[in-house]
Amino acid sequence: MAGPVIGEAGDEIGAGAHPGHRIPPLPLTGLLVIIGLFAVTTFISPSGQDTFRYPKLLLLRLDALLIVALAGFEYARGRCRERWFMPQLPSHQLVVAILIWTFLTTLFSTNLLVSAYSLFTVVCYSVFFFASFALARSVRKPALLYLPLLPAIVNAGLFLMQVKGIWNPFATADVNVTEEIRALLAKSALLGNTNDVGGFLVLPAMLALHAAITGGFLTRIFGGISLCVITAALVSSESNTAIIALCAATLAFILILRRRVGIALIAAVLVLAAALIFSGRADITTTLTAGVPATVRDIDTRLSGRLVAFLSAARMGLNNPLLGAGPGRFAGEYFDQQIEVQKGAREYLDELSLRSNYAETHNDFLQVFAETGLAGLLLMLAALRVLFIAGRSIPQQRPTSLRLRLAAVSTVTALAVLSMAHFPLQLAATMITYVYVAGIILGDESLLAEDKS
Amino acid sequence: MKRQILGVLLFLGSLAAIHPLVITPYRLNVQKKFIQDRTLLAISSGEYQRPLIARQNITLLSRAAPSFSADSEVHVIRAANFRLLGRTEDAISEYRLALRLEKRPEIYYQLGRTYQDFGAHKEAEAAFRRAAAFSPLFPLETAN
Repeated sequence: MAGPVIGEAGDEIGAGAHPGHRIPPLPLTGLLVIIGLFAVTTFISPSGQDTFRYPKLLLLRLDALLIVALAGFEYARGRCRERWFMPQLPSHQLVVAILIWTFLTTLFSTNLLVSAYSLFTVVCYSVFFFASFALARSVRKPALLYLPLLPAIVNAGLFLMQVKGIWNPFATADVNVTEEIRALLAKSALLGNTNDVGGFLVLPAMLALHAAITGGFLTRIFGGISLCVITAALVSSESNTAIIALCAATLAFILILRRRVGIALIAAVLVLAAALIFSGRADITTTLTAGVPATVRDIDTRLSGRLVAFLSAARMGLNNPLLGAGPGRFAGEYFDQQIEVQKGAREYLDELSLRSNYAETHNDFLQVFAETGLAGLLLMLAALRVLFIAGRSIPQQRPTSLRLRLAAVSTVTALAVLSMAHFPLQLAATMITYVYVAGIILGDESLLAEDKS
Repeated sequence: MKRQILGVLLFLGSLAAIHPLVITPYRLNVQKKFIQDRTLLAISSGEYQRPLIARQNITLLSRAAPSFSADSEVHVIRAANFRLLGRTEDAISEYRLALRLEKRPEIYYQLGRTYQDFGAHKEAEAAFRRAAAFSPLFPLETAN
């Protein structure tokens, strides 16, 4: 099956409408977006109590505030070239709806102060999204999509060096540091722990694949090398969720690129899984044939004891399905819910469940439901859908359209699968990359739509 | 004119927000580690050094974080230092503030022990029971 030709010269975003146009100068807010993307994904604070996650969140706040300050300054001077907000676009309507809903749920939160900080985080991501969108519209270069590869290579390279024992910048001789912390710092990259590393690297791995297949000659080489380094680090992280997300996103990618090959691959995976189950080689056989309590307990063991967090989040959401407990309130409300869950389902829970005090659900769909109610969950699903269908309205024969579809579908698949057993929405380094890529994809799509009309 | 005013407001508002929303929390993150280490030092110190270090810790923490901090750990560290000073009532109210933000078994456990110090055995038992209800694997001491 012959697909549209991609990766050739002259198929840059927006090139059709502006033949031979010069690249406009990078807007200052765009520069802040790029700096923020690099800084947030690599910044650490070794002297802080939280070395990895919290400093990144603070840097995201700083970046968003600087972007707003600069945008305000440019706006006052009447020098805003690009439109940040286009109310006719569903993606922009959705961001506004998310902001309004988060504000409302904050007002009715079980703790206003804690939720106000979470609301501010949502505002920061929205600013970053709009600024990325404006950047895509002003620069009009496909290479923008691949910028997250650079911090990902830094993290992947460092992680591989840590795993192989070549160099670990966090090795410490401090006797006060516990063995647990020492083990954590041995495989952290600049992100925190192995699951954070794996989760963060899924999208860059897909972007590298995208570059290796759809880019020009040099981009393909860069994409290929990046893909090798990032995938090696991702697999070394041994994060099951991340590896599954990468496989699912790759399948979705192939399905869009070559439908028949994709279907054949999915069929092959299903046949292989069925063969493993019926031959008794896969552990899942034990789970399926055992009694119900053992099965559920097995599932919990396989989920690393996270079933209790899932059930607690579901309970929390069902207690107030309209507004939820409030943004950022899962950790604060988990205690009471866990006790109730334990009462009803103790025999199904792994011992690990009862030892862990979860600050995150490890399932972002459930956590969003627990914190912002059913409407919040629907808004999250709508956001995934808007990105998933990006580029669909553009004629499929155009290479740029296919490139956009490939990026959009693999991004959404990666995020959706990752959100099922991890918490990408709660990690600044991971989330900023998704928000940036979404902004670039939707900015490019809006340009293509304008070119079409 | 409207445009200029809005632009300037955005500019100034954003710059003004950097201190409370970025710089103060960053400093607090660094100070928390420092004060936590000093609290451990106070615990292992002698009778004369202990109150001195604990008092300094409370002063340092008050400078780094507002009294209504949304960070439960700030209240827990403050409570631990109040306990070292023998100010059990203050410690109890700090643990209660921490629990309003985030309920954790270890906070209930520490609250129980502080109630014990205070001689409020009924309240201590209730706090220990809460901690044990969360996890039956929690130290048996809490259930007794």
